[in-house]
Amino acid sequence: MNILRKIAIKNLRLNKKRSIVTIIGIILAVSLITSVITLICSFQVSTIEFTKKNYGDYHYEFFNIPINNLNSIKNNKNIEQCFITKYMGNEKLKNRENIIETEIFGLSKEAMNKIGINLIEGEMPQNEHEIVISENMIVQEKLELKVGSEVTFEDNDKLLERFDSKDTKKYKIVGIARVTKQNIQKQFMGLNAYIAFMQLKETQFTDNINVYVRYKDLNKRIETIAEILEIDNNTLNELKADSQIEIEQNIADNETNKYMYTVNTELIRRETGEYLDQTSRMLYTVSIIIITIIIIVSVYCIKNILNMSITERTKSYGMLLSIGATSKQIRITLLYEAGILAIISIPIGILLGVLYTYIVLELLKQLTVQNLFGMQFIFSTNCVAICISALISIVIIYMAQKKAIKRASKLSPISAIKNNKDISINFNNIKAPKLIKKCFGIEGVIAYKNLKRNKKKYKATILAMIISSAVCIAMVSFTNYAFKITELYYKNYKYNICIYGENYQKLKEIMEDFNIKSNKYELNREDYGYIKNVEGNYTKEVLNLNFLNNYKLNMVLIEALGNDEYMSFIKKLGLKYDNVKNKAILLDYKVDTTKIEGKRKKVEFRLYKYKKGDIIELERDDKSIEIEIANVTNIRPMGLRNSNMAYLIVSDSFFEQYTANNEFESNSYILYVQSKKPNDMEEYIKENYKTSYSYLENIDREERNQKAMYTFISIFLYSFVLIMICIGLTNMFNTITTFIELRQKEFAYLKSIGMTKRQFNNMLRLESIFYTIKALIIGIPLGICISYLIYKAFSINIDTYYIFPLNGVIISIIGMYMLTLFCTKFSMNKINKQNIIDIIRNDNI
Amino acid sequence: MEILRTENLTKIYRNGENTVTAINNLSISVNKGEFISIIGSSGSGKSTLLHLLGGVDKPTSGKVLVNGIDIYKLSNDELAIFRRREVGLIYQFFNLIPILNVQENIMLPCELDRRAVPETKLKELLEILGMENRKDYLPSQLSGGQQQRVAIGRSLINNPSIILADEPTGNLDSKSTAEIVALLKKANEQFNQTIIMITHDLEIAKNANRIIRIEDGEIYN
Repeated sequence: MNILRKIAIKNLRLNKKRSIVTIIGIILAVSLITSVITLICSFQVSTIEFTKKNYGDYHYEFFNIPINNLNSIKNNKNIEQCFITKYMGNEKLKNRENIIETEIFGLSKEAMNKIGINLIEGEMPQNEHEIVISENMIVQEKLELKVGSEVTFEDNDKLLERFDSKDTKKYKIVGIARVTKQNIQKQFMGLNAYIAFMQLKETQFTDNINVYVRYKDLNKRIETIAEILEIDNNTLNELKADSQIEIEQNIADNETNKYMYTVNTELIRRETGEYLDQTSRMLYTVSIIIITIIIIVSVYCIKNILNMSITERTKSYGMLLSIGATSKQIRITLLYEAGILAIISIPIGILLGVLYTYIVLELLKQLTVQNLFGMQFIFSTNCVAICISALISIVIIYMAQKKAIKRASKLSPISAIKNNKDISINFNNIKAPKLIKKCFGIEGVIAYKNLKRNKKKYKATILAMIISSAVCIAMVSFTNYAFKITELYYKNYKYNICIYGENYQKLKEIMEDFNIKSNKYELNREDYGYIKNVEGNYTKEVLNLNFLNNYKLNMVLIEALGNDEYMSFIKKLGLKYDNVKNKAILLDYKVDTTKIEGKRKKVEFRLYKYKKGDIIELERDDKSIEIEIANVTNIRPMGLRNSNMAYLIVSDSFFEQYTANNEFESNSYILYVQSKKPNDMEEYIKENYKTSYSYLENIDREERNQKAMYTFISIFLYSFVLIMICIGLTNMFNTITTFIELRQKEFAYLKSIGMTKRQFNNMLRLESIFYTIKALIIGIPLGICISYLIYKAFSINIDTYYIFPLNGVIISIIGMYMLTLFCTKFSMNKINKQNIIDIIRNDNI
Repeated sequence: MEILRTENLTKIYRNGENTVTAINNLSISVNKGEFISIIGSSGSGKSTLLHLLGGVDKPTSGKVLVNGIDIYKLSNDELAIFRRREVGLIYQFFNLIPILNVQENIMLPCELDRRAVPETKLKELLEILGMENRKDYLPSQLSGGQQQRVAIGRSLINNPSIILADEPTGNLDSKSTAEIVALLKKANEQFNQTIIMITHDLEIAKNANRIIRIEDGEIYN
């Protein structure tokens, strides 16, 4: 082995502690980068899988293709896969009360799992006698159908003809599926179309069929469509637009097309990353910002770590230079050394990063917060992700080492041997403040002046400390808000089960149940009406601010809160029941955000000018009534949603009086129950009153879910912060220990002229305090600024106040001080063990 | 009046199986106000002796008595305070603290002692050193001779019992050498300061009242 390489290896071996710290620093940085990349990769795969499951694993659907033309599509070179289905017509399912129209489809075996049928119960049909029905049939028609039931279609003759069979009159339901709006021609049939599927044999596909295709290359999708639809170049040029999606839309609208088709935009969007919706775009932007910060911090830290290890060995490079090693040789040695570090650290870093992501996603499963994100998170990593991580890491190490190499190769042998460049002084006699001298004596003065010495060298450490403390404060602040807001939000609910329904009698049945009766409960009823002659009564905000157009409504909601809630509500407003029982309380205060002169602002306003004592005339269906306003309030009683309409809150007796007179027909009811065991109650109601209500909300579970999600996000963010702090720590450790060791001669002088051990330790301790202060002076305000931004972001959706992140500030102050002290203490012990005379003698040799 | 005495002072360096006897059973006595030069060839043990006298190194055996106190019986902190108050050390490479200016470097032993330096004393010292116009300069802004003058100032500030100078002119040109020697002589005469100076230059040594020659760690007669 080349002697210089031997030296490089020996350098690493001899300085075991520092080499280990350097390797740990690089490993942490690499694992951080890898985990971010793997997370993005997993997220992408998860969303694609989610989209495939819900929207179908195909890119385009062509309708009404004559079966003879199928091969021309199949043989297109850009088609990867092809599935066929057949629309079999609109049939009538006979129910007890009414006739339900159902769209029937026949699917090929391959199409079953590919066109976005989300089976929620049972299994897929195996033949034309078995069917899967859409969930909305059961939910909306309240049909008592389940897996295993048999159904008969009334207008079945056509089907019989088609199958040429006598036994298909009855079908066995083998599954229930959720069908999202995009698939199965739903867009032509309305969102609430009822759908049923069966499986057909290949021979049963006759006449016209629908073809679902997956493309090999989505970049060539326009050309492929043009080929399939046989659009000539001239027409295609006419249809050209700025974006692919627009062109596709234009082509779809083109009346001369050979076939009709639809685009699975969701999947194309996910797979190509084009035309992202705002949430995804925000997510990607945030990821890019995070990666950028991580990369910058990593480059800086690794650069600093490597620089420090070179600084420490400058002397030995000086020796090599003085005996005739060329700059090039020194450069190669240093590169060789960086190579060794990279070979050790990068694989371990990548492994740890991947493992970390796996654990985070497993944790996500354990915390059962997945449901809240609406999709299953799948751990995914691939060669590309790992290669990108490795490449980024190599580039970072190379960039970091390059600077050090440049410096080392420029060294003059004598300055390298003396090795005093790094502790040289870049200032002209800066005076320490008198206060420092008064409080801390000469130790304080020396510590303070050291702080000013060679600022550049300490920059990375200070930067690492600033980022760590600011991020720490921001994270604590985020958690503070997340939990505070969850609490605030759910505190409004005095009840933990909300049962929504449209049928008063049915909901009343639930209410009469003894299980409910034993708890506190309340029935909220809602009706609506239109204010007559409203025009002159809008406030100026509604009239002047354009964005408020959607508030310019004459429709109001009339609310009966239930007796107890109503009584406590009027008590809060300081009103007496007898005075208001035949009047209404107007709640028309609204809060919204909008861009005013380019800035996003929160606007608080009222909808109408009405005041106490005014009489409103309400009309609906040619009937009208008059209601006097008893009060105007901005207090929102429980259960009232954040709507763009105003509320008129009335007493139960008033509400009943009017609904009894058939003036209005009420159509929305909410039964609130305060249960001690909300989960048991939920199960009980679901089991016994399945068809009596339309929707049940378990507030307690929602709150827990919300908190679980925030816990998860917090754990996730904190682990990131922890890794960043660890990188910072390795950096601080290297910088502080190196500089203390480089200054050991000075320390020896100080000791030789009578500095005691206590004074010496004090001096180093003060130095770490000053560093901490310096970093915190920037870090804390930065953290507070970020926490304010977080507050701003949260306050868009909920009315909250700014919480000063005191706990975050305290944690970062103590944390940073402990970290610097730890590093200083390490060097302190090392230097205290050394003999002064050895150091001085070395100098005088 | 005897100010410093060594009794059978011995220092042996051990490095694996090799042992080097730097100082061998050496006994000397120094009176107050004496200016002593120690000469000897390279490796004779003269620097080791000086460090032992100044309390910065530890002897293998024997005693160093300053004003009748055995300094190696003191604790580490007491020894540091002893160095601060009783000894003024001057090195060949000046060993000034680079971040402190001239005035601060000179005052350092007093500051460490938490004692205020009388203005007149500081002024007088700066004048003697010829550094009154450069008191705010950093060591890096001074020439070698000037730096050594600051080091002498630092050693004098506390009125120590003895000044130990290790080749104070070894790193200086002839003009600066003459200045430094004159300065030391002045301190000796003006303040009755006891000075022990190591040099390998016989001409410089001749400025002292007494010359001690050391070879192989022993006094050479």
